Parts: sequence; structure tokens; C-alpha cells
Amino acid sequence: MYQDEILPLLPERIRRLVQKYVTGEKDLQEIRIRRGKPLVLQYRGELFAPDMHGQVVSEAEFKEVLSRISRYSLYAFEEEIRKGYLTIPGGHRIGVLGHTVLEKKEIKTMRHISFLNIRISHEIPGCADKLLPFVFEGERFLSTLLVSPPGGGKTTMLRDLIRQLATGGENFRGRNVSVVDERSEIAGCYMGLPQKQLGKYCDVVDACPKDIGIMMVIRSMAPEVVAVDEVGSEKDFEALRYALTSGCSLLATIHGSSLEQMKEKPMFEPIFRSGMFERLIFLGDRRSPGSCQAIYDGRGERIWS
Amino acid sequence: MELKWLGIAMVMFGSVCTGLWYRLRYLGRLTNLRECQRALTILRGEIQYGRTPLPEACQEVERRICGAGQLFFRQVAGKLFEGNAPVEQIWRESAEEIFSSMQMKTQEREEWIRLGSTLGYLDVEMQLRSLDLYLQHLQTSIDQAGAECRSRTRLYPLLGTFCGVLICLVLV
Repeated sequence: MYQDEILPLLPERIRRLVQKYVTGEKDLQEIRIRRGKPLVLQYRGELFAPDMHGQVVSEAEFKEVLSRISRYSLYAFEEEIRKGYLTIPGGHRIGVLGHTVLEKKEIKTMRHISFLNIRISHEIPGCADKLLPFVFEGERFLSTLLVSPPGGGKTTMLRDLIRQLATGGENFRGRNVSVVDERSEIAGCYMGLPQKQLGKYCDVVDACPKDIGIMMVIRSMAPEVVAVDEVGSEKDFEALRYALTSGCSLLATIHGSSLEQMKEKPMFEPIFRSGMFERLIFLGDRRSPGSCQAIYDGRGERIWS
Repeated sequence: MELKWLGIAMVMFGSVCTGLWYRLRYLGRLTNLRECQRALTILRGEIQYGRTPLPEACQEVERRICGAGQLFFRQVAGKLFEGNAPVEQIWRESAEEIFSSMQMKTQEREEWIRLGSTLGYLDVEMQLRSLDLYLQHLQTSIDQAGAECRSRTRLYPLLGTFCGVLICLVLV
């Protein structure tokens, strides 16, 4: 996966450096490439700068990465660039930053891109096993929200939960799961086909805004569980509420660090106001991605830590 | 005597052919420049209206043109699909290989090669602007080549004939 999807994006010198220093590909989380700066890796939870003998990422190398991640067609990714990231086959997300061009107070495009963050998407079958006892009440799947800071392993955990729900296990049956994959990260769809293992009862709407996609899958696929990544806007919560009142269970992720911090911020208020989630699972930060820190029920009572 | 007439005929034939060859060279240059212009106009349309990724856009250009340009875009599209080298390098190597046999001035060939360095990493507005700039240069070259063609395509066959007559007169 990493050999076929990430390494070919890198220019020869940077590729050799990454290969030299990264021995366990599953532990590589990010490759940060900055124009005119040294290469930086997020490896085994730590930031790490490979020895470039005082050299930096050159203009030509940066241009090469940029044209390879966009299949030599940055112009074809205007919408993605405007949002600040693009997703490549395999569901790996690449953050891009540079000089923004504004029009009517909205970002029209981004020029002179100088910062790239290649975030490697991991698929760890079984990583959600430890959460399964907490997310069922008998046969019923409880609406679950996974919470962690960026790089905490939310999407990897979400993907495995979806896979297990849409496959079935020893103690629970498989169920229809509809995934609204706005950033093509969960399923890593390429030409509409998921590249990640998501289970046999799973349907995916790819590259669709969450609020529109949720309404669409409820009408068209009659899901038992609706899964989305990184909710945050009022529209997202509204669509999730609609899904809940339609009889679906929810499985979602959100950025956050602790229950106390979440309760303080108004943007998280809809979660607690309507009690739409029956389980809030807090994962670790980028130093311990995928580790479970605490589990709360819908009333905010800690049930595991 | 017959041998002398045969010699005159051969000299005249050679001179006229040389004149015609020069005429064809100028016409060939004009045809090639127009073919490049057509190819880039198609490429521009694919980028502007379809936001088609470069490998597919080059493939589309290859389908719709002919001659050396078709060979060039076929090779570029193939290498872009493989994705083993930067677009600038693919464009330059293909141009050096295929355009070397084409009737073009060195400066025109170099400008075509330089175009490759602007492809692939710009946003749509900048990409279209860079193509427009090149198309403007190309139009100037086409206008010059057209003007040269009009005068020289008549001049060279005549010059060839006169040279032949001159050589015959000197030799005979």
C-alpha cells in the first residue's frame, strides 16, 4: 500500500531518505514537505527530521511532488485545493497550504503552494475489537462518536468499526452501513470503488458533502447505521439528527481532546443538547494513535477509562 | 551531342528539384506550426471546460490530430500514465525525440520544450494563461512563417530554375 501509493509520489532523493529511515511502514503517520526546508516525518508518534546533510527540499523536488500528487494536473483539483487538501487513491489525505486568493471574502484558489503534509491512511483490521463490548446494547448498535485530536487514529478506528459492523461478528449480526465519505478517506474510493475493506453490507457515497449525503443514503439505501468522518458544522448535526429520527444509528468522528473541553465549546453543544450519541469514545493523541482513553455514555457518565 | 542534352536535362532537373525541396520545407514548417496550434487549442479546451487531468487530456489530443504531433502526444500520454518522471522531463524528451525531424526553427522547438515546464503544477487560471501566452507566440511564428511562405515558395523554384540555367550556360 505504502510502497505502491506513497513512495511513487516522492522524488528520487526524498524517496531514498524515507526508505532509509522508515522501517515499519505502519508507524509512519505523516510526511511533511516544505519548500526550501528539510523533510520532516511523523514516525512512531514523534516528529523526526532525516539527515539531509544540511540540504533542503528544492524547488524542483517540491514541484515534482505537487505535480505527482495531482497526476500532473493541479488545475483539476481546484475545489480540493480551495478546501486545503486533496485525497489520493488509497484514501491518503494530502494537506496543502500556500498563498490564498480571496474573492468576496471566500477562498477562490491557492497559489505558490509551499507546504505539503502527506497523511498516510492506515488500515488495521481488528483495531476496534476492544471497543465492540461498549457499543452494543443487546443486538442494538448504540450511536457512537469517536473523539480525538488530529492524528489520533479516528478514521482508522472508524473504518474498522464500519468493517466489523458491515461484516458481523461472533456476537452480533452484520448490518447495512451507509458511509458518507466526503473526503474519500474512509473508503479510499477510486472511480467509485472502495479500495479499503469495509465489509459486505456497506454502501459508500463518495466525495459528497456530509449533510447532502446523509439525506441521500437514508432515502436511497435504507441503512441501519450511517457513518461519517469529522462532523462539525450545524448542517452536519442537523442531518445526523434527521438520520437518528429516521431510525438509523450513527457512527461519527469529531476533533476534540476531552469531555470537559467539548462541553465548554458552543460548537459541540448540539451533541449534548439532544443526546444524539449514546457512546462518546475518546482516543489518544498523535503520540499514541488508536489508544482508547475513556468511554462515556450519552449523559456524560464515564463507563470506562 | 545527346550526352550534352542529357547533362543539361539532369542539371535542370536537379536545380528545379532543389528549389522545390526548399519550397516544401517552408510549407512543412507552416503545417507543423499549425498542427501544434491545433493540438494546444484542444489541450486548452480539455483543461478549461473538462478539467481533464493531463494524461487523459494528452490522450484526447492524440486522438484528434495526426502526423508527428500525434506521435508526440501519444508518447507523452503514455509516459504520464506510467508516472515515473516529472512532466517537464517527459515533455522535453519526447519533443527532442520526435520534433527533431520536424521542420521548425530551433527557437520554436525550444519554446515548445519550455512549455512543458509550465504544465501540471499550476491552478486552472494560471495554466490557461501560460497556454495562452504560448499560443500567442505560436501565432506570431505562424504569421511570420505564412509571410515567408508566400514570398519564398514562389522564389525558391524560380531560383532553382535560374541556377540550373546559369550552370548549363557556364558549362556549355
